[in-house]
Amino acid sequence: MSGTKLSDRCQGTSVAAIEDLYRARAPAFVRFATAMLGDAELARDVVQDAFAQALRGRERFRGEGSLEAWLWSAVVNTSRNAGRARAVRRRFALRAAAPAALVEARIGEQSALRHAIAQLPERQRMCIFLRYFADLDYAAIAAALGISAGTVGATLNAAHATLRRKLEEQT
Amino acid sequence: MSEPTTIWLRALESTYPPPRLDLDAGWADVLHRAQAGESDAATPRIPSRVAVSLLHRRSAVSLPHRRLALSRPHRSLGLALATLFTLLLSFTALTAAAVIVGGPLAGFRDWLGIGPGKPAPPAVQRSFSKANSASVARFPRGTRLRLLLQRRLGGVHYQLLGFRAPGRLCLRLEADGVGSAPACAPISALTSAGELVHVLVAGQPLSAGARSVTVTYGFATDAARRVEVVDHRGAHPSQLAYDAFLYVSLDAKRPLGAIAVDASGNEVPIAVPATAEAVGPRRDWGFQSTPQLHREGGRPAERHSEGRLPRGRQPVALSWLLHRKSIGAPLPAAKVLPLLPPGARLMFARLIDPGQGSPLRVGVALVRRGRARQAPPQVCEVLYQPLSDGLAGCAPLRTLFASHHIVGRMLPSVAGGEGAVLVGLAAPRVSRISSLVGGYQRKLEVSPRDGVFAIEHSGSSFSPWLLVSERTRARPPKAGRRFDEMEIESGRWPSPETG
Repeated sequence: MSGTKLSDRCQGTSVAAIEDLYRARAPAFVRFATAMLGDAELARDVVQDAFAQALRGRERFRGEGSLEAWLWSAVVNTSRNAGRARAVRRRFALRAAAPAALVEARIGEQSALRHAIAQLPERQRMCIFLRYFADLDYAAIAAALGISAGTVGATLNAAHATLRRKLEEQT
Repeated sequence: MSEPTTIWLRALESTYPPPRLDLDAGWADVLHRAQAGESDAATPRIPSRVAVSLLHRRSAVSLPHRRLALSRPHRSLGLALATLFTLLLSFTALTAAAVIVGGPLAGFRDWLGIGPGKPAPPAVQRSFSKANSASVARFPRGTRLRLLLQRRLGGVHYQLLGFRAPGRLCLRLEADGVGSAPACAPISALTSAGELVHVLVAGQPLSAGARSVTVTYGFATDAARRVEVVDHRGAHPSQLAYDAFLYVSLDAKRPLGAIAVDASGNEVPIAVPATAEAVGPRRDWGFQSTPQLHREGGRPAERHSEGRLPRGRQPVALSWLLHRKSIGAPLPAAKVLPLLPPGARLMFARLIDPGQGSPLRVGVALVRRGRARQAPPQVCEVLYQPLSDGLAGCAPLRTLFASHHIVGRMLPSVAGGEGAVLVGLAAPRVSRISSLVGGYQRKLEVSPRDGVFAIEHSGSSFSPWLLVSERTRARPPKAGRRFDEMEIESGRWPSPETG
């Protein structure tokens, strides 16, 4: 089915609005997902899936917040699910893979900052990326993650402190 | 933007550079995915009873149609070719039908020809071929996987793949693209057992998301119409197609059994395989629970006394190993050392094909433990199963055959489910080892090769009785004398120290 046909069946501007946001913000979404998952290919796949799901479930968007925040929420959730699925794959691979291969998979090529960020709790990582890659304010981050704006501030402070400490330790 | 924010942003910018995207192609892909998802969601759930026939129909109509745009003069030639093709197809079908009736794959119609299901996804095939090539024990090069069943549960995509190896049919489960070790059953065992269903793996635990799942799968004959897996909560229908079935449970408990339903609606209870940890007092499913080690008809005090080897009058056991002869194939130290006990120094190792057309390989290594030069030598045997790490066991060379003419271990198959491998070393006098299971109904015989033997059992509940025959000079050579026998159960037989 072509895009025109799909949009014919949609509620007017919804698809167009989602498309506009995709074209304007896709790099930020992909960058966020890449940072979260550490895998550019998987990140692109996640963002594509998140937008496809958003298109299919566009009736659920009630207009209470911004469309962008709603889409960020979709990308965040899809990234979380993909990360969990990958964790399953890794655990599953533990049974079959040779120890050397596992070690290689774990080490990878990580810069000091990337390594430090990777060690942060998931919520702190998400706050960092949404703040700096998506350039969202505290309210938008709170909407995307389903937490309060105050919690976003506290989480960001904690993440900054942890990163500073870890980077100082490494240097 | 505040200064600290700018600092963080710069640091992150360099760490995670912005991606380059083709937005037009990306948006077209989003629309395509959205449309595909809608059509998936609109597909009604198919009752399991008719799923098999629908699957066959779907595979038939989903073949790519290529319209041949023939010009008029070429049409007659096209018709002739089509007629010839039809005749060839009919001949092939008749031949296949003859094989189905009494051939080696009787009851497994889907496994004739190119194999059941669809070709495995290219990435899955590549991954399998790569892992197979890297494995010490491997299936033949060019082994092609077929996609039999797939399902999504708890966010994980499971695919059951099947393939043929010499003398056996195998299944391999993939969860989100990562494959488990393959599980195989000899074709002879599948077709001679006369059972509707052959459970290959039962209740194998996997980690899926935040919780554990268990998977049960195996083969089902053409006569099976439904397979249900029974656990403590009741009976659950499994997916069934292409002579295979798959059941994935979010419950971590092991299934108690299975029920196969034939075309007449008859329900046949099927025992699930016994694994070492699952052997227990479930007598209703036919498990044997008490490990035994005794001689037939002998008093306990006489156990194995006749089989004891007289010292000094025996040929040197594994002389090729002691003299470091290049028997079998080379075995790289890197494939052995990680499996040996700590402190083991590898002196010599070779890889032996135990025969029987099996993909198994047995590594035999001469090692010394400790730093002392004169540390007593040990013999280690390592069982290599395809796409799996090896399992090693070691014993002092001096006392290797002190109490029995064979020494070894019974190990689970790589899939951890049904099936076990009796693997070990045999004294030079041993000509044949017979393993009797299921109340003497099934007999497996092997001859040691270079002092190494491996017997693959695919039975579910068994306690093999081993008969060891002696090599004699009598003609014909079959006239061996039984001189050692024992009943064994997992981990309870003359076993070298496990490394």
